[in-house]
Amino acid sequence: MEIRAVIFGFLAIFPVACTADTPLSVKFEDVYVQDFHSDEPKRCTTADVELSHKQAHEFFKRSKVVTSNTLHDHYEYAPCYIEGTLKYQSKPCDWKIRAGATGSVTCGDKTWYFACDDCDDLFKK
Amino acid sequence: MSTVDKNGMLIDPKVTLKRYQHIEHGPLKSIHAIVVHQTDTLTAQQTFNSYNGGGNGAHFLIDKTGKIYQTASLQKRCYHVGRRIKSRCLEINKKNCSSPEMTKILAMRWAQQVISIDKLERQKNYPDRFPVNSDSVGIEIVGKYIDDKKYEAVTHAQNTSLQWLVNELYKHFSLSKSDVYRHPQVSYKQPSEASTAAWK
Repeated sequence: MEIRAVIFGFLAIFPVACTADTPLSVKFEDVYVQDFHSDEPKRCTTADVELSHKQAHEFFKRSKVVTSNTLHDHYEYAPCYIEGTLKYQSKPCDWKIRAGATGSVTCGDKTWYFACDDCDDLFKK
Repeated sequence: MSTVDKNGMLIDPKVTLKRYQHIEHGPLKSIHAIVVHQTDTLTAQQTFNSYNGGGNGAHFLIDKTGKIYQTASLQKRCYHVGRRIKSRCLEINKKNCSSPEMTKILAMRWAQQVISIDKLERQKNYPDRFPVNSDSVGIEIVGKYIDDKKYEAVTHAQNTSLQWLVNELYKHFSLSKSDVYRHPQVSYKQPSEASTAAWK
């Protein structure tokens, strides 16, 4: 009886432990590019961040989640970005990907920041 | 008037010395400029906790109440500017910025521009280029980056202390207002950082 209780307890906990290790971006679905914006239209253009829906999803898959402090200290803030929508746990979210290979996803009042150190191929003209 | 002691610490009743040697990275041989930052933290203590772990930091920190801390020696270099600096010519003197080299750089994709401009700028001396870690003092102002949009406003008390501090640094290092920069002027940072900081 006690052993059965331990097994049930383990099974109840295990999925939580397992999902805790799953990268956030793996759970993103329906990633769609919707728009482009630049604060310096002559220097930072659509060609600097010309990603398809699939590539935008790929960006988040390859990226690591970082704090806003890490983003500020170690990455360049690009003046142009693409933006769009995705779903996370069935909830609608907004995202941005900047030309400097950084990004963010906002779901309600929660924002995650992303940086990709291995995404050069996604940003090439 | 304040004094600077043999360890590079600013001695004055207005300054609390709280040095973190983990954020000091080699000698700072000259001081030509001041760069004003915001911490992206809610409290000074959060920044101190980060400084305990080393890495990036600045020489001074101004708390929400206006309390000034010196967190690194003025004889030591801190990583506060960032890896890539902007082109002073492109940002300020646009008319004097046309050269075949710059034209070539501006035709590159943005990420490559950043690298090439940095390489070009670092061949120059201040003030022909923006300040870098090895010739500038960093002042952090406690203030959080909010909702992926903007930094919170610098308080009146913080701006009062900032003015006092830059005045002291002007005197000690023969600097003027034109030598003080907001962080996003100098390197590629969120434009609202320190945008509400004010000094004369």
